[in-house]
Amino acid sequence: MNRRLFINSLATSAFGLTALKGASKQTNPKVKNVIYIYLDGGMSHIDSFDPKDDDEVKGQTSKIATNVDGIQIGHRLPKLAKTMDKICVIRGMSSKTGAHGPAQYLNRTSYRQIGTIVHPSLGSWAAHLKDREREMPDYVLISGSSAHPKSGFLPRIKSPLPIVDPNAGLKNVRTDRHLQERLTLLNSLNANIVSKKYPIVKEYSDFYDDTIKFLKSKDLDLFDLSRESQKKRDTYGKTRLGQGCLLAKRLIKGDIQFIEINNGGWDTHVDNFTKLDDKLKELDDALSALVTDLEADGLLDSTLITLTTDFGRTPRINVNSGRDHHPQCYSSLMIGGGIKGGMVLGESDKKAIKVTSKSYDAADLNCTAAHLLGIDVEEEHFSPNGRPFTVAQKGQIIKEILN
Amino acid sequence: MKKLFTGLVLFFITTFGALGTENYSNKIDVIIANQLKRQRQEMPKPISDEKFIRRAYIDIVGRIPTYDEGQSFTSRKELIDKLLDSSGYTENMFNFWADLLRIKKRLSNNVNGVNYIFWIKDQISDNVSYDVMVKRLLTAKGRIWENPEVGYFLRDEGMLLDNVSNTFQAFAGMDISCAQCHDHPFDDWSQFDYYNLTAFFGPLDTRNRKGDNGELKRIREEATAMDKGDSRGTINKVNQFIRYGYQYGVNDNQKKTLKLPHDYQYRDGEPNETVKARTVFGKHIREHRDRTKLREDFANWLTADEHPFFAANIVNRLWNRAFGFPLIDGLNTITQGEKLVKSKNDELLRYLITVIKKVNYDTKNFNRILLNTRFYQSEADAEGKFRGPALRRMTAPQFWDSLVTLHVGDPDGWQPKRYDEEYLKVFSDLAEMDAATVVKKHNEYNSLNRKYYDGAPKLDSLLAIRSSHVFENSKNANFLIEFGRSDRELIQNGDTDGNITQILVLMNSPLASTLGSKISFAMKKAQSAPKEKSLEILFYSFLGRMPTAGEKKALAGALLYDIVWVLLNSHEMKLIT
Repeated sequence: MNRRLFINSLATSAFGLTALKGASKQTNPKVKNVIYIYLDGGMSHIDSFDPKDDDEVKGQTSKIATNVDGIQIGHRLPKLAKTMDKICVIRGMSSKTGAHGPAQYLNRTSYRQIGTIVHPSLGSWAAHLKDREREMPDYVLISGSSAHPKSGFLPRIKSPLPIVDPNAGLKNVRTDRHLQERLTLLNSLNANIVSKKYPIVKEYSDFYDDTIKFLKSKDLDLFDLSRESQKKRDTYGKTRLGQGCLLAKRLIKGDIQFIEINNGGWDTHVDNFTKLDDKLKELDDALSALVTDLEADGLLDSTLITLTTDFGRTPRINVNSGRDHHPQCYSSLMIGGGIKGGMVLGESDKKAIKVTSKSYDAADLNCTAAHLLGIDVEEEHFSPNGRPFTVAQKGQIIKEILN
Repeated sequence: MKKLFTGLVLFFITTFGALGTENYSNKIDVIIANQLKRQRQEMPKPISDEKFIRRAYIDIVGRIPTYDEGQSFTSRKELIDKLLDSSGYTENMFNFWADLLRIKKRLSNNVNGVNYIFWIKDQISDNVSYDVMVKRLLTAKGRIWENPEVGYFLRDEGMLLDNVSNTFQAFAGMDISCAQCHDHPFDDWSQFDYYNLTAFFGPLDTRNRKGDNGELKRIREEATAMDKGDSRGTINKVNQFIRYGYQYGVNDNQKKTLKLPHDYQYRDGEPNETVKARTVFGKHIREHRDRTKLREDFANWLTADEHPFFAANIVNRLWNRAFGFPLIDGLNTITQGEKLVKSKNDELLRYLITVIKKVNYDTKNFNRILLNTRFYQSEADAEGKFRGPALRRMTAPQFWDSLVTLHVGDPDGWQPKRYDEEYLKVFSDLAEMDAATVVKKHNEYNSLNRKYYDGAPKLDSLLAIRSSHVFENSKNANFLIEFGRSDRELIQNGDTDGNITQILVLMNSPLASTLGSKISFAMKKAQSAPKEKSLEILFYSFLGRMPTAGEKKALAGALLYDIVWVLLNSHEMKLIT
């Protein structure tokens, strides 16, 4: 029995009758990989992808043209303006949740946060349902926040591999130069207990074997940004998000299925405009470089990029030149495989207060991403305590933006 | 006279309690032996003293023994008693309660749980009976600085329905959470039942709505006046101080009621209808006039001897804790409708339920009974077939606390700084404060918070202190979560599964080199001994046993530093064998 089968069988026996089986029904996948960029704190829709003319609302943000006729975005995003033909902006996003924690949870899991169960994040669902039998983790979380729901009620092995700082890469991968001698000694010490063939010992032996294989494999280089040219690193911007996106690009080359990048600093209650000078530049550099780079390597068609955030920010500018939480209306992006580029879906009123078109929510975004990955979004899966769940709750596939 | 009487009672309790303990342990062995006989199996083989010592330390005080502790062993019974009465037992049991009650330092937004944590530890070291403790939690009142046990409700502040669901899971092993939103699909509980049960907590109020409002207004105005220009420094501090000190607490509000949801869909009730408290199984209790007594009624109903699940739940959890497997699978779901799910040994479960009632829910004594069984002191069972305690990996806290022991010797030598009185003084009567005083007190509060970890020893970038002292969102907590400790979002959701990041930590992080350096306790001891003895000291310190002749030969040429790495990474180190 290989390790993965073994783990699954453990999970099955531990969870009793309502076994959590991996690898389920598949629909026809349009993409192989997902990069999920999550902006913690709530990105102002008005100053980024849904700029307005109204003097009271726009503050220190003006509109600029893009390379798509009729689409304008905020002036702090000149590079993305030039890649707009690849991007779909969803201006019709709406939510009922105005607090950060619950909003982030809802975005990542499609479910409302409650005290009696933790729902899996989309990356864990994908790792679980499209069990690809890899030695490498199939879900990597870059700069993740600690409140992340991770694998929720799914087996913990479906949790993301955390990369705290993209510049530092994976922690603890440098081995002592005497590793081989040490391993020889270790094997001799372990020999007795290994010979008893206890399942739990077998499990840990396999983890050691996997880890050692991993430490010697080329995959390890994927996590090492120092292998990129300085020029390439500069193009993405020497920021957390920039280097995170570059790392994501490397991981896509290594065919890691789901990469999530978290980025903080978007909760602009104070000095919204000066803060966004930096934050939106960080985003503009990073995302435009990522899209261009994936395209150049022929990977954009097989990769989906989703960009989303807690909620939007108030059209009214507060006494501290900031904007507060505004869940009624915000913007998200989808880019890449299966998605129509150069398109805006939905619209808000002249003051960016409400969605005036059909509205969409976090579950719809996740549902669309899952569908593009070839996951059956209607299939029910049971948690260990027997409650039924779907990948994106009641989310609908956003057919309007599909190719 | 009163003193004499108490003394006599204590004498009887200790003498007959101890006598009883043995009988109970023997009876448990008889029941297990009978079941094994029916399956044509023998009782598992007893373990050696060496193995017993390591297992007892890990299970009772949550860590491996030091070399010297191992050498000073007298008898099994004495060791069990000694460990049960040590402070290590309190710290180890705290992890059990913290996982069950989902205890964090930040209990919910703006609620600091530090005193609640100490309160729980006090209950353990005072050996408060389990049923009494549950009653105290469920009937707690006041602000957290006065009565820390209100932390139980403040953990789910603003989420009463979730809180009640957690109460049933934690104290009755019942998962009724489905019925929170709709009739339970495969159990007997309807949404209306759920609301009937929740209505016992209908009057519960966790926010101070009126109270000191006049004073709040005055202080806030003063603060705003003190802020110059665009600055919000003072008012922000004042607001934070008020939130932490005064805004949250637990009270019963006679007029507060529970209503059905606005979109209630069943015929047995109308949307927004007020629901009355009523038990829906077990002894029938319904709402009476004094609604401030409802929580007491509920607590009495839950902890009464005739409650069908209260005893079974704690028995199942404590059994699982000692033996590594539950009698009824699924610790939080031991019921089906109004019945217990079938257990692995019904006679044993029934007997243990009698025992825990006979010892009046004295959990320490109950643990003592389990630890003194032959079955506990038997070879571990790797197959999960009820042939002995489960062969299992140490839990994350046990593993970490063992590393701390290797590093500092006595993991309970350092204790966190405790400031119950000082906190209470900081959050005194608002009427006697002006904004300037509040700012001063706000700083005092922050400095008390910072002192908690004062003087803690280090292990690389982590603190070399017990897992039970560690707050969430710290490097120590991240280590624990990586190794499977519960994140305390859900009841007991930790695990002992492996993963690659754990192995990377053990193989390549500075941990192994630090433990293998002269600043570490076990290594220091090994280095100061002659070569042959060094190996024995290291083996005992990590694995609780001496090296075999073969191992001595294999490791003859190795450096102590490398041997520490090997021992740390060995399978045996992680396991409770």
